[in-house]
Amino acid sequence: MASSKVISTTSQTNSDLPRQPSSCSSLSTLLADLQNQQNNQNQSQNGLGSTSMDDLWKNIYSSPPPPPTTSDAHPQFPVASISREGSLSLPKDVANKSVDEVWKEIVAGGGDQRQGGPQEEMTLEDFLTKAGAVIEEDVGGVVNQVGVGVGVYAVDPAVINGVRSQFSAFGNNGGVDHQRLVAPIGRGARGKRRAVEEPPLDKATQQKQRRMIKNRESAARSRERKQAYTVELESLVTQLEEENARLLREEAELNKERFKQLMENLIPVEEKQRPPRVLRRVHSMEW
Amino acid sequence: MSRPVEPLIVGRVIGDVLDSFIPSIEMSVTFNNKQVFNGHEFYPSTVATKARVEIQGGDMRTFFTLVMTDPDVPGPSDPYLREHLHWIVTDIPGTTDATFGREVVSYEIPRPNIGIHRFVFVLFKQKRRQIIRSPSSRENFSTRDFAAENDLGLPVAAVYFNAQRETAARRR
Repeated sequence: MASSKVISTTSQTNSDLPRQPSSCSSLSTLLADLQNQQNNQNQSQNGLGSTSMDDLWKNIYSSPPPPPTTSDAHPQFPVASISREGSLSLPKDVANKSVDEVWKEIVAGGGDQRQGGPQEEMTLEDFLTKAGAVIEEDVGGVVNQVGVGVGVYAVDPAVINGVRSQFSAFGNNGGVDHQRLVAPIGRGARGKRRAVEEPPLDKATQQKQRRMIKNRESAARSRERKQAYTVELESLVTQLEEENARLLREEAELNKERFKQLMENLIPVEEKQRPPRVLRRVHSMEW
Repeated sequence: MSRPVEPLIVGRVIGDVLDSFIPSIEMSVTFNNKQVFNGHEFYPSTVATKARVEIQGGDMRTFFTLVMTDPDVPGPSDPYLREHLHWIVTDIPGTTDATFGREVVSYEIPRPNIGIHRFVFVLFKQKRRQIIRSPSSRENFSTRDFAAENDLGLPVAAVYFNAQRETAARRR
């Protein structure tokens, strides 16, 4: 059950993320747009999102601008993306292509080519292990920073809340410390996402979790029972209504029959003729 | 006219105990003049005496087998002893009731100890007047396997009720 919950959160990212406004989450919304981009590649909805992505990637790839520049650029895009007036209209395929390139980089660094979530997870895992090693060794370019950030967000945007603060700092400085923070936070974020599988060290919390799960199942069963009861009652009601209607109709029919029979039996009685009265002279003398 | 199987599906009877089927026989189960409807609750005291099972269908030449089991034993949250057999009556002629059949496994009074149990009545149509093999034990019974072993096919009618401990807290 918990795992299904996790899946649902990841699948709902698109709807949740763009509505999270806050000053320090400018980068998160930007990267959420990237996620949107990834998931809605075939639909031409986010014209503005693609624009911002496009510009972002172009900024990164054309020449490595110092982090402050990118951070300056950042506030503009989210504002534009949040407003979403659709005045700008860059060709979507261009934006897609550049994003694809980045993704291909990340994916190529990772494992197999699989679909959807698992693909991102696998590659992220490998990428993070790589990135972790890479970041600690070498400062790396802006690409790595953003790549890692994107990777983290792509996998679990739900964790953005926890990681938001770190990334706001990252957006401002882009220093090495924050890079290093990214990898363990990335792992921590993923760990948090999979917290259900990890055994918490405390036995009391373990028992509490077990109790909670059992309670949840029991509640689900209780709801099921209630639903089954209602369904049964509904079917009973329709069945009884039908039967009632049928019986009433039958009764009406029988009554009509009885009345008709009665009338048929009475009428012959009424039609009996009396002999006409005739006047006759009796006891009278004729002279 | 047979009642739809939707309550059986929602109550997970079809799934845990039976496979999906199309009811073809009307069966009415009553405890003490109280009819059993799917998912309704009965007190163990009410169901202590065996039910009156009337078969309103078929004819006197077709024979039916009735099975009553509890799939939520020992408790619905962890039914590792699923199912517990309560009653088997065979060779019930159509349009009659269970008293005209042969009781292969005697009626066991339901004693739900943990949680709320479902008790399922399943009716099978026999292809002929056959000798149903009495199962070796009531524990770990499987209605599906029982039907397969005795060549009974899919059920023709089913109904279930809920029961919990007599003194359990109800409607908190």
